[in-house]
Amino acid sequence: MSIPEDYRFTKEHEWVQLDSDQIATVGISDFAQRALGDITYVQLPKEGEEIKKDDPFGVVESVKAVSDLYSPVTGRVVEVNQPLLQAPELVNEDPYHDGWMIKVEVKDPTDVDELMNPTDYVSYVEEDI
Amino acid sequence: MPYRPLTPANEREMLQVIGANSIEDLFASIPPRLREHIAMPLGMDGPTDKQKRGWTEHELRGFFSQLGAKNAHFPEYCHFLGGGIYDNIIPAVVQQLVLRGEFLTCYTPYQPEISQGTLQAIFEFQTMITRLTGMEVANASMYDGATATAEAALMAERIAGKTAGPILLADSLHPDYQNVTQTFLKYHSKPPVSVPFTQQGTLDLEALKQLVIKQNPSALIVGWPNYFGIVESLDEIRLVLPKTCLLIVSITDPSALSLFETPAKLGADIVVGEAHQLGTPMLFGGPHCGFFASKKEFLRQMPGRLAGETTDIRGNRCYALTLSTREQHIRREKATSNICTNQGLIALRTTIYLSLLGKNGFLELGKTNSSLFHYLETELAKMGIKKRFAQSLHYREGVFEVPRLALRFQNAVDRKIVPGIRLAEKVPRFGNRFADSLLIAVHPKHTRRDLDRLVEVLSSDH
Repeated sequence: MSIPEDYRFTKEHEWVQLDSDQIATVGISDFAQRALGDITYVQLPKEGEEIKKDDPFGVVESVKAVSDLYSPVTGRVVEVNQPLLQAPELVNEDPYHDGWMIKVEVKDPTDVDELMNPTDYVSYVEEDI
Repeated sequence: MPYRPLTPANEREMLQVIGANSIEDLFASIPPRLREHIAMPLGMDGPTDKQKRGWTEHELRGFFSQLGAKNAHFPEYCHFLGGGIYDNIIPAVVQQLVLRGEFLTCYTPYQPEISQGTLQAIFEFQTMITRLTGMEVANASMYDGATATAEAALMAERIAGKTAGPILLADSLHPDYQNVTQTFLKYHSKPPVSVPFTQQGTLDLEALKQLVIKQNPSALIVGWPNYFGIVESLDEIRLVLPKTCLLIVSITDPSALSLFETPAKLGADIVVGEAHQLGTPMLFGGPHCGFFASKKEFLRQMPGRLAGETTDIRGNRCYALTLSTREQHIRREKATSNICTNQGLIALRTTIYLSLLGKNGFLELGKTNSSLFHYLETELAKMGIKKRFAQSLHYREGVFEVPRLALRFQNAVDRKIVPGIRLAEKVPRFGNRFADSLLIAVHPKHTRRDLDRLVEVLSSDH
């Protein structure tokens, strides 16, 4: 699955895309959704909630495991992907687009700078996992 | 295999590892005065030949029978105590069935390979609780009504999120339930805020409106019927609450569900309570059985175990624990609760009891309670003993103002009648205005003669 060039990745396999209005969209990687297997439930924060970089902001549950979602950025949640709550399988089907999880108004855009670009992430997954 | 947990050889070995010469040596830091009690437990007489040779089973039974006889007990005493514990008639078959070896274990086996009977019984219990409360989902049970109420508060906080305000506690909720909930919340989050009751013993809706505006509460916990036996208007309460404030209904007396609309229809988000009266004696106030029900949308935030129905590889209907990812063995410190068990045997008693009563029997139970209470309040009124909060809707329990209560209470006890709970003693913070208030409950065991005797003793100083 091709990864959009401007996506950045955490070591915990979340992706983040920052747009020009400092709004970050967050989801999990294709690798992560494949490792988890069929996703049955996604628990997300409420709109307006403050979240912190590297802190858990939600939970993703699959037939195999339940895992925390770690935030790649600090900021305020401005939008939650409501369809995921009814159709968590969207994360499996399209992790980089329809399967997005939250949009965050970012406090410090440099949060994203320390994350991996798609090339680095692919080699991270291939080497380390 | 010695069939005992600790042989003298084990004891010696352990003492050696610790570096103590004897058991006496091990307990040397306990003052001798207190150690005497350890050597002679339970007030047994001083050194006798029995102590040297040990007590026979027969002697020990005799000893404890004598001790037990010192207690005042039922049915020697006729009682009108309620306040969350109710003295129902329990068909003998309940006791007989729970003695079956498949059920009577000291822990609840949940493995689906070996526990289909247990799991099905739990599933039936959950089904019955959802039917009684009208809610969509119920769990496998909790320790008791008070801890179920506290767990409901924690669940409401999880749903509301970190930004929401405190839990509101109706001051007319059972005082013990309030205490337990406060204890649970004390080191966990914000302390709960109390909502006063009106002159009619019901939740003060004006005060509630103000608190909702000021505090942005995550939930309101209200007793139903409340501690004064009043059936609160849940639908009116719901109207005052914004959608973000959950309505938690705590039911100390589930037999009321036989006559009144279900809390679900009246707007409850979480319904919890105490199920003991449905098939389990009063015991010593426990072990009892809490129930916990909610809406499907909140399922993932529920505490406790859940039995689910599924099919096995041959396509047969079967049962298994489900949605365990909420639980401690998987989610560790992020689990929805520390509860990793249920009150299996008492929940089973509840299930058997409700099966025996059926819809008609359950309705009969409610009607019996209600008509006994109506008779009692009518007869008390004739003797000038007024029901407090008289304009509110009561079911089977209520507060009565008894002149010279202390004297008449003692007169009753002398005649082997326990006439009720003295509110000034039970809830000192209610103060002097409740000095002569007696909380009286009727039980299906009561005969008309029992009620007449109570009226007689409460309406005279002699």
